[in-house]
Amino acid sequence: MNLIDIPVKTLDKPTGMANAVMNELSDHLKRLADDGETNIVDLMSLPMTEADINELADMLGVGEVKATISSIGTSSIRETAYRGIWWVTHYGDDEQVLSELIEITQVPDILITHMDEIRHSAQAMATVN
Amino acid sequence: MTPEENNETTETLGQNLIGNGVSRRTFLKFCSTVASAMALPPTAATAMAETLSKATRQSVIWLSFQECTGCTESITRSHKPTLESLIFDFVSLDYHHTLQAASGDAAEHAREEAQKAHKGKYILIVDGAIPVKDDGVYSTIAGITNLQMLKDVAADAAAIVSVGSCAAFGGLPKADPNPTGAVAVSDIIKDKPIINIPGCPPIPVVMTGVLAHVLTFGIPELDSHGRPVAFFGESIHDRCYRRPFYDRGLFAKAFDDEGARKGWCLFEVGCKGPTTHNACATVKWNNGTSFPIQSGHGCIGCSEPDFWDAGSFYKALSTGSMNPGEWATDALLAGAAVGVASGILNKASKSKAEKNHKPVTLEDMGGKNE
Ligand code: SF4
Repeated sequence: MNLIDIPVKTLDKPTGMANAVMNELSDHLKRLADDGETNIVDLMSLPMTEADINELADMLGVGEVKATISSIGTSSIRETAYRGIWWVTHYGDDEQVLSELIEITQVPDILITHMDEIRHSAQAMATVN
Repeated sequence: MTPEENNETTETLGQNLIGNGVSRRTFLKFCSTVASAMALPPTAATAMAETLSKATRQSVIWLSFQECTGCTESITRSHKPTLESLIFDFVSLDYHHTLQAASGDAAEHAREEAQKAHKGKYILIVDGAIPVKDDGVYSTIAGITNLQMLKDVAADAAAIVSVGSCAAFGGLPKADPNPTGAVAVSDIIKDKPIINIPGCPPIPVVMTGVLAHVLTFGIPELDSHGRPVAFFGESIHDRCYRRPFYDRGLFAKAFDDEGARKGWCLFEVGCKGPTTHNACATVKWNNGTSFPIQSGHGCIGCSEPDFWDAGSFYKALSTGSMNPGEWATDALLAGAAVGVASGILNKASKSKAEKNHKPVTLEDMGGKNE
């Protein structure tokens, strides 16, 4: 018998965590709407099963913005059906998930080009032209 | 080409990264991952990126003593640039005898230079225990005993980071009967802040995260063993995905029984998860692939003091001086109120472990079926 023939499986059922996270997100979104307060919920710090994460993704739905960043692995940034709630997943170079965040903000920081880099580019462009 | 590239000494980390082709988004991604791993507040990633990018590169001297190089392997293990290995772009690693190009006199000279140039400001990283028996003759580098080198370099360090269970607690070299009189860094140096990052080896992102924290926000909050609470505040058992089986009393009794096949709790085949504080259950290993419990083996407790002498890896914690009922309550308490409860638990397990020290036998390996 081979190692891969041993059918080791763990149960993967929703535990109700997705509902709890939805409550928290609703609270955060109200604060963003009322006072402009941004927030981040770190899904990896919560004891969520894969089924919970899928359930949460279904509950949040899919919005109209989708962006991919390529830098030592990719990062995927998607706005959910609830405007202002973004699903941000950072992948490592082997496609493993490094961090999975729900950002409650107008636009996640990582999408904004940093002024230092804009200055550096401006300088480089001026040298070329 | 930027003018800053010619000026190594005043160059900020931000400028250095642009020069080296590390984008700010990559940098922010690194900080996000670190902040997430350290459970820092949501704004921390951006603040961390801003602070780090404005600072000059921190001088780091890394001393390796009685060790197996596993800790260095862990942090540099990939051939491809990983997010964790980026930390080497953020610091100026002035001495690391495994990684540096220089050898012999030139290497030792580099260390002395860095000590002089950054007196009182450099961070000293140590991996490996320090043998102190017979004046420390059992391990020397360039004719200098580890004991002497540690004392010399520590004297002008701003802070010390003990990487790995050997530097933090004595580890394998200190295991009974400890022929070289190996001790931890903290047994020798008493007048400097010391951060312990135990593990055999430690998780790469834990090392990187703690270093990034030291560079930006200073020394993180530490537990009673000098370990950063962000990574060592909870036990493996608190975050274990097999925990629902533990709570329902469903245990594998041997590595090849039905319970093992169904992925039940490994407590009865010796899992040390309830007494072990580390981040394996959340951060995992090999680029987030798995961790021992997920691969079917109990936790061996490698980030706790004296784990080599804590009895068989395959003997259940509940056997010996504590009865199972007592254990279950303690473990649950630890899950509910991590701070106080796990502290008590820790002490209990440590003294129990000391009393119960026994060599591993073939029988142990076979679990309870033998
Ligand atoms: S005893 Fe070990 S396998 Fe069982 S729940 Fe605790 S950490 Fe997980």
